[in-house]
Amino acid sequence: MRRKAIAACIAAAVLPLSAAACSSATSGGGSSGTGSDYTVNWWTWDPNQAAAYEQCIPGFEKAHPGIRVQVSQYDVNDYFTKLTADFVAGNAPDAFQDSLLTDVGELQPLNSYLSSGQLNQYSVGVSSVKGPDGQPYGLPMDWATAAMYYNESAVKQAGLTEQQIQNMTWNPVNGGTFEKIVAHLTIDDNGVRGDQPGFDKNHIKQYGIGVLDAADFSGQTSWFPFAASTGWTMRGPWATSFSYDNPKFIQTMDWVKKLVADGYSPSFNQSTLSDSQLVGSGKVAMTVGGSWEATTFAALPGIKVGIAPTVDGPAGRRSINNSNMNVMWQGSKDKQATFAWMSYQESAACQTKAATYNGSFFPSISSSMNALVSYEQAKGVDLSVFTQQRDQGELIDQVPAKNWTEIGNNLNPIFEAYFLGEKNDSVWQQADQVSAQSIAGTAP
Amino acid sequence: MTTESLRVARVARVAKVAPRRRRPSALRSLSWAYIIAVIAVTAFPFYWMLRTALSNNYALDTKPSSLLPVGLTLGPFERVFGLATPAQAIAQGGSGASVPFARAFLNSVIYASVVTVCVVFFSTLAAYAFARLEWRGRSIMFRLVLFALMVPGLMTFLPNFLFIKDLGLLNTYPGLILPGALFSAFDIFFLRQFMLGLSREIEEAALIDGAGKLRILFRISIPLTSGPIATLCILGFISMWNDYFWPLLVTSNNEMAPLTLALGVFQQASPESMPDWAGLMAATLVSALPMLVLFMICGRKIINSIGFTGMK
Repeated sequence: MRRKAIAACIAAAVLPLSAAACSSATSGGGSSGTGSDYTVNWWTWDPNQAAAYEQCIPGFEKAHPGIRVQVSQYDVNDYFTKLTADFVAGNAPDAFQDSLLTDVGELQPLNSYLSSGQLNQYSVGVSSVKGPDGQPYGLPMDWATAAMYYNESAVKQAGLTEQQIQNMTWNPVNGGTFEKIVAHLTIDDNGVRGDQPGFDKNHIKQYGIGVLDAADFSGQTSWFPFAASTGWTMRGPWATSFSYDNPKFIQTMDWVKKLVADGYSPSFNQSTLSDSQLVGSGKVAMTVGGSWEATTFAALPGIKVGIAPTVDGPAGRRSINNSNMNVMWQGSKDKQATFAWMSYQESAACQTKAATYNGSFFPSISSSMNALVSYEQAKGVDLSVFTQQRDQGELIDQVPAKNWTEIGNNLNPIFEAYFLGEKNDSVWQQADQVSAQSIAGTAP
Repeated sequence: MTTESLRVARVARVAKVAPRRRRPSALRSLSWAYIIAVIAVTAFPFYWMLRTALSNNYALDTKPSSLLPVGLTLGPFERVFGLATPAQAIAQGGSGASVPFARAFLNSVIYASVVTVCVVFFSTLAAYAFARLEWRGRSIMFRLVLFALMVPGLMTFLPNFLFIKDLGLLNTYPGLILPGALFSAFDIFFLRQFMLGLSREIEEAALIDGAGKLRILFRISIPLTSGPIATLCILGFISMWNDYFWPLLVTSNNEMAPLTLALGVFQQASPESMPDWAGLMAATLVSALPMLVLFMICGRKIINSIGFTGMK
């Protein structure tokens, strides 16, 4: 009697598990195949790009019978955690989207797979795919940069012309025409403009320029276009430290602080709104924004936003280019098939198809980019500012460095302390040392 | 009865029949004002989520602090349930990615319920063994269980992951369910404490009548412990329903992902792009809905349970 009861208990416990096991899906995040078919797994963090590149799969599978492709997307905050876990498990995807070659030790160098001159078809991002040993580890996928977005009616009301906005000059000493324009665009609560007498810098209704004092050590959509236009560079590829302790950089930072003190730009962390919300709600007249925000700005109802190049400084115009790259895992079970997909994916045909599907990225091949420009033009978004930046050599590739996340964790507080006024110019020497330690992985 | 006692009875009756109404005092109004303020502050974030979930993303940018939905639309909810076409989604600032809602919902239900049923069942058996059975090494074993309580959950993720991978159960239901379903130190400890407090007389009476230990467990102890068991079921279900990290590690494709993972597509798409705020809020509301329903049905029991366990 008792044994029957025990047996009944065990059966009751095991039954749901076996039922669940019977209905489980096929195992393995790595590639599996039916017969001779090999499934290449490709990962990205961007659901827009996942949807876009899936448009290329039918064409690829037709051209390469025997290879299937599966695109998966994971949220960006967990993407690299999941990648690391799957590197450990031996379950990683064959190829995936990477930024800054964060796990270069797990990647397959592509020299033996690339045909000669294959990298020449890409107009941006080629230097970003080179690893510490100078070998290419990926194919450039896309690029993104920064520009000035401005509220056209605010500019018109200030009596300024579009020409003036498109040709703003700047220098760290007196701010050039840029500072004059920004001062004129700033309006306080009483309607007095920033360059008129009686301007109250403590009660501002509309700022002339958005956030420049960002606690961002790379400053792509804040201070970088200004600092770099003096001829200053942050570092070379795979450098061992950054170079903040440079008179041109320090002068630029001092100028940013002064701009905030004059009331033309929001003070540090004054607002938690994004660029598009600040411009859309009329709080700022102009902002340094990313190229990925172009469609957002164009879609804001009731407000027309123009795009202008970044300021023309003593050494010309400069902006950071962020390129993502298509990389291969060195543990992939069929590298030839994987490389076939990667090459197809980063060919002009697929890039054009994917980019014009939902406009979610700037393709790295010129002809595809031109197709995207026409596609967006038809929707009322003018991307010519960005293509001009590319064509006129104003883009500086965001070249990789080791331990990128840790660098941010250690450096961003320094920027914060500086902009809050807790530290003065002497902090930049410390910033250089902290960057060296973070890159080396020896930061406390 | 004497006149005295009659009079007392009459006074008592009057007092019961006509209760005196207290005039609202200043203190009472203040208390009410305070309670209303606290409720408003607590409920406002949920209203804000609802308001954002009914807004158009682009219109939201022009009026970020509006109290009413901006550009009132049901589009975000359509995106969550996978009913919007990519074009519609993109037009509203969404990503155009599809959400396999039905499958993800089914996965969540399977994952949460199987884990809860298994873990509570096994914990009950273990608790009974610790509370009522005498066996060598019982106290040492129990100390090990207590020791397990001190290990933070985070430290078990990677060892479990490697173990499940070695068993070849990655991306399967057993792989998802087993680690959480087989052992819970807290459940064992909690049920044991309760079972220790049950009266022995009933069990001894059953023993005299010829019942074995298992029959006593199933016929007497478990029915008496139904309160704490229900508590653990409810709390366990809620925590498994909201579980994100373990499914993220174990599952590799949309077929196995529970709802929390499937709705992750609404989080920030890339370090540079803006999240689909409206879709994100709609997704959060939808994933919290079963919990809200559960709470409304068993609300009082949950409150009592939390008070009972002293833990959330």
